[in-house]
Amino acid sequence: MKKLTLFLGDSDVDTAVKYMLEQWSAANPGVTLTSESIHADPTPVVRLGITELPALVLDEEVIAQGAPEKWVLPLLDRVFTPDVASD
Amino acid sequence: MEEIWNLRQVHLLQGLTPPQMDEVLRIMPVTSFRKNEYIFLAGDDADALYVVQVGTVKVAYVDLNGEEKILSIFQTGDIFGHLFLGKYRTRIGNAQALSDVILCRLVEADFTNLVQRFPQIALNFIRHQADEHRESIARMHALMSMDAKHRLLGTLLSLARRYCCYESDWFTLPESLTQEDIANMTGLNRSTVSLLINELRRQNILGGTGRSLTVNRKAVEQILEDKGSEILE
Repeated sequence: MKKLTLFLGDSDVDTAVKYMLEQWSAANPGVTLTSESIHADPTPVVRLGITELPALVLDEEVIAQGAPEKWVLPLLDRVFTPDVASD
Repeated sequence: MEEIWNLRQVHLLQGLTPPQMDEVLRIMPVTSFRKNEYIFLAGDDADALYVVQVGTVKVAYVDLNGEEKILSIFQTGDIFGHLFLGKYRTRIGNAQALSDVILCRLVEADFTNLVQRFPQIALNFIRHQADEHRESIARMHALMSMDAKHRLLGTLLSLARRYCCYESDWFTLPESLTQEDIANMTGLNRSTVSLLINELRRQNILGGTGRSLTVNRKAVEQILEDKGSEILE
């Protein structure tokens, strides 16, 4: 089981990304998705070295951040689909 | 699990080893601000500087006519709020989050201790101050001696050099920066800035649509050099 964490702020873009990832994770049972508001606890953002929002973290490693239109769907398809299929 | 702090882009901490950086960051509380929230206000007593981890911060003051004048814009890795380290102990402007922002806060006593323990931090701080001073001189020069178009280009180039993602010859400015903000920084009104941006887009000197604004660095540098007003390089 892969643990995916989305760090996000209050912007409309962040909310849209959260919605898209939730839809995606619902169809991919091999992945657990957690959304974390940076305003609830900003410390992990610094610890992980995140510099742009929204940011996606896979098992404590930042795999994408900022400009979500460039990475959300392509990245999920490329990184997770083969593993999820084999789970 | 051992925490591995990672603030590689912070100019203040460049040159420190990971254990040293870890030690420094443990004494800097992390705080967040929502878009449009104020971090401090003009006239506040000042006792801490801030390092930007995420987001964009505007420092501005409101003049006697009620017009906002932007003093500076800060993004990831920048330091702000440190002017109290001289003899003036109150804030000269309002610091406001232009987006969701995460900051690390360093109070004066901790800064003093860190400088004594890690002289590299003092060197980094002096370099940061030197760059800021030089950019301030360039902006002052532009405001005093250039026409509207070149003043705008000088400001955009300055912003692009400091804050933007570099993709080929083009920089993309943060979308949290509005044309109103750019107008305030250049001493122009918003309609003039809008007209100039549209004209420069048609000439392929600027690009982007709507709030997305990109800057053709080489083209702008050439224009300013031809005008004799490029003094930063």
